[in-house]
Amino acid sequence: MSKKLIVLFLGLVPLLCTCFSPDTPSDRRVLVLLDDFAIKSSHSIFFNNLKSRGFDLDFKLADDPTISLQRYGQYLYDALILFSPTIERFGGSIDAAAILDFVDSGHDLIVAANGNASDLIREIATECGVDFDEDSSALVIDHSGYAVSATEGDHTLIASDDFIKSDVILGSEKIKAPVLFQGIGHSLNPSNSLVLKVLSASPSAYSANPKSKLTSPPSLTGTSMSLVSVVQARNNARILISGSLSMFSNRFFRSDVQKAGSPTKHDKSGNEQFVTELSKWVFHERGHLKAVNVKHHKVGEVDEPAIYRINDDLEYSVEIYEWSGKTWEPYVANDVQVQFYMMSPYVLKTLSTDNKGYYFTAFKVPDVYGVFQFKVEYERLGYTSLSLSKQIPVRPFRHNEYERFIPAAYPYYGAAFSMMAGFFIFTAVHLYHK
Amino acid sequence: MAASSKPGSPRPPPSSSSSMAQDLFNNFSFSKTLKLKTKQQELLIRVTVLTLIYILAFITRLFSVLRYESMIHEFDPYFNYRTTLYLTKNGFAEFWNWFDSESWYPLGRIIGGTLYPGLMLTAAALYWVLRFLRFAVHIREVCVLTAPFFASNTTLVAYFFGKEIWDSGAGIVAAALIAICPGYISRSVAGSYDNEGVAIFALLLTFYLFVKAVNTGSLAWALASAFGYFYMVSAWGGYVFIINLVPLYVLVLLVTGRYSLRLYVAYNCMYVVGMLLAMQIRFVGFQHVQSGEHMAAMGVFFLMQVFFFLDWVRHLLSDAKLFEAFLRITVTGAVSVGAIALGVGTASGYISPWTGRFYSLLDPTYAKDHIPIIASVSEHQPTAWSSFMFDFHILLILFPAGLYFCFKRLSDATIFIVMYGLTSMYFAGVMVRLILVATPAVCLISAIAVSATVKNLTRLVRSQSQAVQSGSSKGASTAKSSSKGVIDNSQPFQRNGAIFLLLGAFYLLTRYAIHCTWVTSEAYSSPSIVLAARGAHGNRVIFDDYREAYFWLRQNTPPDAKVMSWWDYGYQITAMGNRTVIVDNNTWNNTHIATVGRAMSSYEDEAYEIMRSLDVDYVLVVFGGVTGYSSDDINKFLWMVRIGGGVFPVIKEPDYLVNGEYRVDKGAAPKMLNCLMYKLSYYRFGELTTEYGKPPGFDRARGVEIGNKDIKLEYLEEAFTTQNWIVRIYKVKPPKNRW
Amino acid sequence: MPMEEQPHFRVPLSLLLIFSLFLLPTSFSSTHDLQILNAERRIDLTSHIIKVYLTLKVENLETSPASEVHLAFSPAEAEHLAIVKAAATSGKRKKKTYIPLDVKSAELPDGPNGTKFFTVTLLTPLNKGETATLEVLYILTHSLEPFPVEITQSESQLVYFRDSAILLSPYHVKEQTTFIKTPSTRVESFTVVDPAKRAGTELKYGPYEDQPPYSYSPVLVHFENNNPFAVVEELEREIEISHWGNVQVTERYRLVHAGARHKGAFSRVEYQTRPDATGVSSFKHLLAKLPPKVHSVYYRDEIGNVSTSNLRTDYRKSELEFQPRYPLFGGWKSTFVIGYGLPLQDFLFESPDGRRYLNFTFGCPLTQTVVDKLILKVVLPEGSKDPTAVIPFQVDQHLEIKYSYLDVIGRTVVVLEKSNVVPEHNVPFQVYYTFNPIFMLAEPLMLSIAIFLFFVASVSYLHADLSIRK
Repeated sequence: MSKKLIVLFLGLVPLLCTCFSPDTPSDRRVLVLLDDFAIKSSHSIFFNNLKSRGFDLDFKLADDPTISLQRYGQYLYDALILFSPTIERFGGSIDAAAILDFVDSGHDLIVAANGNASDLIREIATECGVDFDEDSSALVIDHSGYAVSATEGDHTLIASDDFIKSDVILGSEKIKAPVLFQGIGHSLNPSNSLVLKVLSASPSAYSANPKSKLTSPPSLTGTSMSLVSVVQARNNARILISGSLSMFSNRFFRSDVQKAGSPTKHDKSGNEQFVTELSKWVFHERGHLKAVNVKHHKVGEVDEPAIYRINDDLEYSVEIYEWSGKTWEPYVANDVQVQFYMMSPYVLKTLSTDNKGYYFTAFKVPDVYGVFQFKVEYERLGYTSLSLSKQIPVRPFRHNEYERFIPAAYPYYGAAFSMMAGFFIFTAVHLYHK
Repeated sequence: MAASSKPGSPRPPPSSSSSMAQDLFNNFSFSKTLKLKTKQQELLIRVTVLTLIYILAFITRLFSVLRYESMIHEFDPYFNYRTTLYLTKNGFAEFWNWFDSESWYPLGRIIGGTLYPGLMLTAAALYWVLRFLRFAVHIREVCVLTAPFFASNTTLVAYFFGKEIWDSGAGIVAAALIAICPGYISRSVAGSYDNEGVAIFALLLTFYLFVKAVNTGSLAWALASAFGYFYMVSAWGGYVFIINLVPLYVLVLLVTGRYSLRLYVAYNCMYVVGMLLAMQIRFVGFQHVQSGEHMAAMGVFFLMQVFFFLDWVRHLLSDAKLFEAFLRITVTGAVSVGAIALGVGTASGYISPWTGRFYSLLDPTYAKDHIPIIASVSEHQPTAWSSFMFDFHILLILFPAGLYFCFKRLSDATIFIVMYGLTSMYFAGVMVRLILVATPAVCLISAIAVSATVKNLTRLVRSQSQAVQSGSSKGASTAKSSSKGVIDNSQPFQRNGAIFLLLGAFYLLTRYAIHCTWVTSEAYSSPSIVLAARGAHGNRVIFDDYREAYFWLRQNTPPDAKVMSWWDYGYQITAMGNRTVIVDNNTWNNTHIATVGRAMSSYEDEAYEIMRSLDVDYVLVVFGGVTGYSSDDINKFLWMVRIGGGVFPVIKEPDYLVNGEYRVDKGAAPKMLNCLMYKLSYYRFGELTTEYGKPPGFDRARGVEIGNKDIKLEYLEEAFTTQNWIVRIYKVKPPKNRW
Repeated sequence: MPMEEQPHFRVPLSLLLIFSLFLLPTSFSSTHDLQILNAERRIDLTSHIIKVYLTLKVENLETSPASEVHLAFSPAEAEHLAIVKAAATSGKRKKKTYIPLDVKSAELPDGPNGTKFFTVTLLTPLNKGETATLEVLYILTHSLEPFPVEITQSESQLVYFRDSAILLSPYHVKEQTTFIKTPSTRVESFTVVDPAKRAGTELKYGPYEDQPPYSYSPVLVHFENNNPFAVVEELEREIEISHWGNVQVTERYRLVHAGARHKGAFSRVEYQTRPDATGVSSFKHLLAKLPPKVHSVYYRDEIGNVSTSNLRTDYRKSELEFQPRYPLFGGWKSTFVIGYGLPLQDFLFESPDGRRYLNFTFGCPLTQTVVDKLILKVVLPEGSKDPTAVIPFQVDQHLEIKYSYLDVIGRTVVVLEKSNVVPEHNVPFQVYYTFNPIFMLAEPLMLSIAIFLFFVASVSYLHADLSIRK
C-alpha cells in the first residue's frame, strides 16, 4: 500500500514545479488547436522551437469535444495558438467569447488564418480590431513584390519586408531576408488604438480572388493592408494575428526567397527569424516591464506621509525592471515621466535614473490643495504599458503655519498700541485732573 | 442653561431655576407662616409656569425619538454630526484646520474655513461638560438633543424679551407660544441637528440684549448683545438679518427723531465690538467690512457719528440759524462722502456686490432666473398660504392685533419688535425656511395681543367682583393687574361680554395648543432617512433603504472608492457610508455639480468619459418606482438637467421634454429614455411587477408604465440595490481591454 | 480523474509528499508500544465547521503498562484545530457509557516534520494485551477551501476538503475505515484510494489493513456546500454587572461571509424573484440563542438601529432571529452590536467563602458560526477587588479599567481572549471577586449631594448682593 502511495507522490512531483508564478511573466503552458494533426508535423520547426524555449505545448484538434480553457474559473493554459483557420465551431466549452475572455484575463493568443478562413476566426480577429477581407476566397496578390518561385504563377506568394520599426517586437537584429507570405490580408480597425501592423503589404499589393477576374476595385490595397498584426491589450495580454498559416510552416521556413525585382537571392527566407522573434514577444519573453516599490516622501524624510501640504518639497521614486525571458533586468530609459495630477497634470517631470532600474525625481507641490495623484503612464511601442497611480491629498497651510509678523503690518501694530497707551493716559488725566 | 441666560438676569426675577430655588427655600424657612406675600405668590407662580414651559418645550420635540429612534435627521445635520464627531475626536485645532479630502473629490474642502462652527462647538462643549461630570453619554445623543435643549432656552429668552417690550405677562405668554409654535418646531425637533437649532436662540438673545441696551443705554448690555451677535455669527449665516435689521431700526429711530444717547451707546458698542468678534469667524472674515450685505450697518455707524457731532455742535452753538446752515452743510457733506465712498468701493471691487442668495431674498423671482441651484432646493421656494396657516395657526390673526397694541403704546422697544415682525414676515413670504426667522417675532407680537386683551378683560371682570381668575398662563397678568389695583366703573353687560371674550380667547389658545401638538407629531417628527408607511393591514412599514445602502458602501467597497450621486445625498454618504463623494450639500462649486448633472443627463458612453475623468468608482441613484417614494432622482432630474445645462450648453432642457411635458413612459423623449439617470433608475425594472393588475415595470411613484424596458448597461454594472429598490448603486467598469 | 485534479493542490501536497518520504525512516523509531486494532473516522462536512468523530480501539503490545494514547495531526489540521475531546467508552451497543478523558497537546521528539500531537490520558493504564476503546471528537475550522474561488450570483458554492484516506497515527493501525458525509449528493470529484466508494451523501474510504505508523495518503474531495460560511472575525462581549439587579451584555460583532467570493453584479431582481436559484450560498438570517428572561434587547450598528429582528422567548431560552442590513454574499462584511439585559440573580452567586462570582456562558451566542477572535470582558462593579476567572480551557487574560456613569476610580474589567472559538466552547465559566456593598450607595449619594449643593448655591446667590453700585 505505502509503496503504491509513494508512486502516487512521485507522479505528482513534476506537477509541483510547473506552476506559473506571476513574477515570471513568460508563458509556460500553451494550448495548440489544429485543424488536423498534419499541421503538427508540417509546422514542426516552429513548434520544436517553442518547446526548446521551455514551453510545453498541448496539441488538440480544434473540434475535440474534451478541450477546455478553464476549470472552475482557473485557466489551464497561459497561451493559445489557433492554427485552425477553417474551424467553424470549437469542440468542448470553447467558443469565441471564451477565447476573448481568455485574452481579457491576461493570456496570450496567436491566430493564423489563411484563404477561406472561417467566420469564427474572422469574428475573433474582428473582436481584436482586425478585419480580414470579407471575400472569403480573396488572397493577397502582389504583382511587383511577389516571391520568385518555380511553381506558382499567380502572385499570391509574397516576399514582404515591410516590417514594423521596433526592436522590442522584432528583436534587436534586423530580419535578414524577406518573409514569405501566402494568405489573406486584413485592415486595422481605425477605432482600435492598440492594434499594430507588424508586417504590412507593399504599395502594389491588393486583396482579391486570384481565380476570378477582377471586376470591382479591391477593398484592401497597398500599405493600408496589413499581413501580420499584433495587439497588446490594456491588461498586457498579447495577440498575434497573421493572415497566413503557411507563414509558420516548415516549407516556408526552409525555402529560399528572392523578391521580384531584387537581384539578391536569399537561400533562406526570413520567416523563421521573423516568427521566432515575434513569438518571443507574444509570449512575454521580451518587452515586459514591471514597476516595483513606488515611493514618495518629503525631502529629508523616509516614510510616506498621509497628506502633503502645499509647497512641500517631495521626492518620488520607482524601480522599473524588464523581463529578459529568464531574469528581471534593470530597465534603462530616459523618457519615464511622472505627473502630479488633479484633473490635469500640475507637475510633469521626467524621472532621472541610475541605470540600475531606479528612477527618481524631486519637485515642489504646487500651490493648490486637493486630492492629487502621482501618475506614471509609460507606454512605449512594444513594451507592456506601465500605469501607476497613487492618490495623495494636499492640504493648505494650518493657521499656525503662516508667518507670524508681517512687516507691512507694523504701522497697524503701532497704531493699536499707541491707541491703547493714549486711551490709558487720557483716562488717567480725565479722572485725576480736577 | 443657567449660563446662557445669566447675562439677561442681574436683578430679580433672575433665571428660572435659581428663583425657583428661592421659593422652595422660602417654603422651608417660613414653614410656620405658610401664608406667602402676594409678591412671593406671583413669583412662585411665574417661576413654576416658566419651568413647566421650559420642560414642555423640550418634551414636545421628542416625538421623533419615540416614533423612530435617537437618530440624526435630514441631510445637512449629517454633515454637522460628522464634523462634531471630528471635533470631539481630534480637538479644536485640528477641526479648525480640517482639510476634508473625502468630499468634493478631487477638489477637497477646507471644512474649518467654510462652516459656521457655532453648532458643533456648542454640542462638543455640552459633550465635554457631561463627560467631565462622568456621564458616559454618546456624542450622538448630545447632538440629537441639542436642538430641543436650545428651544427650551429660547422660551426663557422670549420671556425676558416679552417682559422687556411689554410686561412679564406678555413675556410668559410669548414663552408659552414659542415653546410649541410649529414654525419653530419644524427646525428644532430632536435629531434635526442643524444650525437653525441654536441660531434662533442666538438671534432672539441678540435682539433682546440689544433692545435692553437701547432701553437702558448701559454699556454692559450693549457688550452682551455684541457677544450674542458673535454667537449668532458663529452659528448661522442668518446673522446677516441682524446686521441689517439693527441698522434699519436705528435709522428709523433717527428719522423719527427718537435719537438718544442710549441708542448711540447701544449701537456703536454693539456694532464695533460685534464686528471685531464676527471677523474672528473664518467663514466671515473680512466680508464683514467688505461685502455689500454689511455696508448698511457701517453707513448707519458713520451716520450716528454725524448725529452725535451735530448734537454736540448744537449744544455749543446758541444761534439757531447758524446751526441750520451748518446742519445742511454737514448732512449733505456726510451723505455725499458716504455715497462716493460706497461708489468707489464697489467700483474698485473692494466692496463685493450682493450675493445671489441675498438678491433672491429681496426679489423672489431672481433665483428662478439666475441661480437654478438655489431655486432647486425645496425650502427656498416662496411660501404658500397654507404653510403660513400650518405653521402659525391663530398667531396669524393675533399678529395684526399685536401690531395694533404696539402702535398704541409706541416705544423704542415696540418699534423694534414691529420692524422685526414686518421684515421677517416679508422674508418668510419669500422663502419657506425663513418662516423660522419670523416665528419669534410673530409669537412675541401675538403674545402682546393676547396678554393685553386678557389683561383688559380681566380688569373689567375683576372691577365688579374680586373673583380671582386662575388659568395656567394668565395667572401672572391677573396678579399683576390686581397689584396695580386700577379699578374703573363699568356696566354689567360689559362684564358679561368680557367673560364671553375671555372664554373665546381661551378656546382659541386651546385650539392652538392642539393644532401645534398634532402638527409636531404628524408632520415635523419624521427623519427623512427612515421612511414609514402604512401597510395593507394598517400596520406600520419601515423602509430603511438609505441606511442599508450606505452601510453596504461602508462595509463592502474599498476605502478610497469615490461615489457619484446627486448632491442631496453627499453629506449622508460621507457621514454614514464613510466614502468619498464628488459633490455634496455644501453647494459651493456650481461647475462641479453641473458636471455631475451633465453626466447624469447624457448618454452612457459620454457619461462614462466624465466619470472616468472624475475617477468615479460607484454611482448611487435614488429610485422610488417600487415603493411610490416620490422625492427620488427621476423627479429631481429636471433640476440636474437645468443645472448641468447652466454650465454646459450641450445639455438642453427641451431634449428631455415632450412638448413641455416631463414624462417617463412610452411617450417620453428619446434622450430621456436613454440618459444615464433613466437607465440607472430603471435598469431591469421592466422585469418586476410592482402592483397587482398592472403590467411589469409599472412605476408607482409616477403611476405609469416605463417606456424603456430592455435597458442594457455597457459601462456600468449593478453593484447593489436595496430591499425596496429605493437606493441603487452601480459599479463603474474598467475600460475595455482590447480597444 | 485525480490526475487532472492535481494542479490545484500543490502547496499542501508538497509537505504531504515529504511525509511519505519520511515514512520509511521514521516509522520504526516511534514510541509504539501500542497498536490500534480498529479505527473508524466519521467526518461531517455538512457545515463549514468540520466535526470528526474518531473511534479507536487500542491495544498495548509491550509489557510496561501504557497510560497515554497519542493522537497525531498534520500541521495543516493542527493550525485549524478548534477543540479536541476524548472519552472512554465501556459497555455494548445498549447502555454505552462515556467517561470524558483529559486531552492536552504534547511534544513528541520523533514526529516527522511538523506533526502535532495530543495526548489522551487513560483512566486505567493498559497492561499487556489489554484493549480500550476511545471516542475522540475534534473540530476543524477554515478547512474547506472554496473552489472556484469566485462565484457569480447564480452559481452554487463548491469547496475542496483535504485529508488523508489513512489515519495519521504514531501507531500501527490494523484496520481502519473513514466515512465522509457531504451536505448534498453533488460531489464533483474525489481522490480514489482503493477501496473507496461513494453512496449518496457518504464517501467511504477503506477498510485498509495494516498501515505502518505515519502513513498518509492525501485525498481531495470537491463537493457542493451551500451552508452559510458565517465567520465572526472578531467578537467583543462586554458583560457589565450592576449590583442594582441587572447584568448588561453588549456584543460587538464583525461578521464576514468566508465562502467563495461574490463575483460580478448583484441583481436584486434575480434575488427577489428566484430566491432558490440565485445566491444559494448567501445568507441573510442569523440566529442568536440568548439566556432566558432576557430583556431590553437591542440590535444596532454604527449608523443606527436595525429594524429587522424579532425575539422569541420562553422560560428555557430566548432566541433572537435577526437580519443584517443586507444579505451577505461571499466576502461581504457586516458589523453590528447586540445588547441585552439579564436579571442579576440568575448569574451572580455568593460562594461559601463570601466572595461573589458571576457564572456565565463562554463562546458566541450565534449558532453555526466560527469566531476567529473572541474578546470577553467582564466589567465588575466599581470598588470590587482581586478578581479571578475560572475557565475549563486555555485562554489568555488580563485586567483593564473602564469608566462608566458616575465612576470615580473606574471599574475593574477582566478580559479573556481566545481565538478559533466554535459552538462547542459555549460552556459556563466563573469570575470570582470581592465586593463591599457600601459601594452601591456611592453614586446615589454623589447625586443627592450635587443637587443639594446646587440649591445652596442658588439660594446664596439670591441673598448675596453682587452690584457694585453702593
